[in-house]
Amino acid sequence: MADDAETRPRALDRLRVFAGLAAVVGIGLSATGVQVGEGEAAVVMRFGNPVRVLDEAGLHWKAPWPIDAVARVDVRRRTFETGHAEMLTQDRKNVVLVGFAIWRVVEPLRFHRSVGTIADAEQKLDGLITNAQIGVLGRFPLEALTSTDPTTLRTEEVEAELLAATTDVARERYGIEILAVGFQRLSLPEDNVTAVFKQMRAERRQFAARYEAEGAEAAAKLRAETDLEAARIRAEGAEAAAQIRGEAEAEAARIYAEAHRQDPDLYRFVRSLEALDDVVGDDTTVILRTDSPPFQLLTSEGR
Amino acid sequence: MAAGRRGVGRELATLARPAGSAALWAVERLHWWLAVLAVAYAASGVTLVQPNEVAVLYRFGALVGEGAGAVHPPGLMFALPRPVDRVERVPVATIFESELRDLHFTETDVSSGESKVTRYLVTSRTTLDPERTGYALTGDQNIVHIAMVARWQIADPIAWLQSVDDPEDQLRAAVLSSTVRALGGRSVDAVLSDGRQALVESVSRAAQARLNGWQAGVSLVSLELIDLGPPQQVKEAFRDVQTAAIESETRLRSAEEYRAVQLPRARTERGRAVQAAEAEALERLQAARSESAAFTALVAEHRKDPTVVRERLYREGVEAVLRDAGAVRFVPPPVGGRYTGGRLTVPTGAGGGRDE
Repeated sequence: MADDAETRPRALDRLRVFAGLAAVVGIGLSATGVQVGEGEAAVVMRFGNPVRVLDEAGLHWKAPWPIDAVARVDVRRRTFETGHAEMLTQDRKNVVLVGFAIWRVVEPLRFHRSVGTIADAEQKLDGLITNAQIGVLGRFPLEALTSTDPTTLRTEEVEAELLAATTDVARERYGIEILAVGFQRLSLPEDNVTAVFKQMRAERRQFAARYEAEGAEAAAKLRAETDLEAARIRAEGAEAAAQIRGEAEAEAARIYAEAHRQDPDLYRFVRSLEALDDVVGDDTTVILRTDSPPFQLLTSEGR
Repeated sequence: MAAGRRGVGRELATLARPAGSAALWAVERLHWWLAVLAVAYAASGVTLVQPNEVAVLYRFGALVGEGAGAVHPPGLMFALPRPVDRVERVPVATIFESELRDLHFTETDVSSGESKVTRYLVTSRTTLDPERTGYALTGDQNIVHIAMVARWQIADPIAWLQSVDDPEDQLRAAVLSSTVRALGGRSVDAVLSDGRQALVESVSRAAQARLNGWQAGVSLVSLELIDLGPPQQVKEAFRDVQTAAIESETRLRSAEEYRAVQLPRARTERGRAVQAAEAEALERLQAARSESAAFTALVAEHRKDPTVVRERLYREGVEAVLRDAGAVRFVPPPVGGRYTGGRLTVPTGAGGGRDE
């Protein structure tokens, strides 16, 4: 080993100088330079006392430790979801809400002084939003949130009031801007659900009964209509048949009349004979004078 | 002891000689190694942006470029090494999937990466605990479970990177709050029957509007229902309504069938009646024509010799009458206007026998 020291090359000396210089520059830069990223702000504290805020992205300078220290604050938008909170509506109905807020830090200095960390901020927001929900919901009936009548729905108004109730306080106290507040769950307390189920079942029964009645009615109506229509069609047939017969009869009468007009006297004669033949049957006794032709031949008188 | 230690030392030195000379060789050429390292460091900022990505460049933390000019397309991108430059790649062409089961009775295991239902949260037959089971209220205060899958994309890489900490949570808040609101304005029947598509469309529109309002840099590609239905506890009642609807439909169908049979049958009868009448009419006219033809012939004959024809007709007529008659009696012609002698019996008529 001792031999190596004697043959140590000059290259190593150069390396030492270079490494030493790099270390000095690196330490100097890291002590005095502050990189502030987009969506980030830095609070510079001189001897623990916040003196300025670096809220523009880029490279900034500060005095080295222990004079200046830097606390970074994330100023990006983030979502906070509250826990389940039970409250009363104006019409004395219990609801369970889960609220949310979209928020961001707008005053890093105030935020750093009064809150510090995101977790602390969320805890503060939870209380703030839950209180606002209890206050605002107490001024609206349940119909404002759930109703089939669009005129009673006032969700937007509720959200606007929630925002109004939280935004100023959050900014003044914590340096937080709340961009939106709302609720992403609307439920009922466990004890009330049984009653809702009961009501739902009753509603369904009503629907089922109505379907049955309506179906039966429609079917009966259709059958009656069918019978009526069928009867009408048959009557049409009978009428058409009667008309055809009548026309044929009239035509036949015309044909007969035309023929008979040639000799009405002869017709009457032929018709009388036919009528006579029709009238006389098996149970008829015909009484004739013996002098009527051709029977006068039977008596001497006829000769 | 000392000699032995020295011996060991010499041996070690002998053994280490090749390694030592190699180290010496390396140290003598140290400036080359440093040069290689320096080049590697200088090149470490060069980034390959994948085809589904874009990239943005931060210099000392600040965004380089503005608006669309700050977004680098896929390809090779030159940047200075850290800590001067920082390159962030954003998968803008990738479509992300988020399952939203907060309003449903199932939970998925998101940590495993696969969306697998891990828990069924129905705990009671008679009620639902809002903290354990998700559901939403409809406008007519019915309870429904709804699970959706949202597909989304990073629409604005700069907003995504520098102004939103948790884009997926914002998406969740936007979709859930829009869903709660949309369901709160609709009746359970509208939601469960043909209003599903309208519901999804309205939720997706409202959620996108909210996301835009918050400048989340996220665009909702699609929103699909995984499940939407009443709770297990009342499912049977809903099924009964369906059964009733089907039964009522069946009744109507059978009435329609009746109609489909009865009306053609009536039409057939109508046709048959008309045809029969036509046949009869034809026969009737045929008879009329033939009879009148016969009469016309008779008239012609009569004109030639009226007496003979009349006589023949008369005789034929009387013969026919007498042939048909049950009995024929004769009486002598009256004398002085009165019939004498003989007793007449008329066997027919209500009056019965009559004496003269």
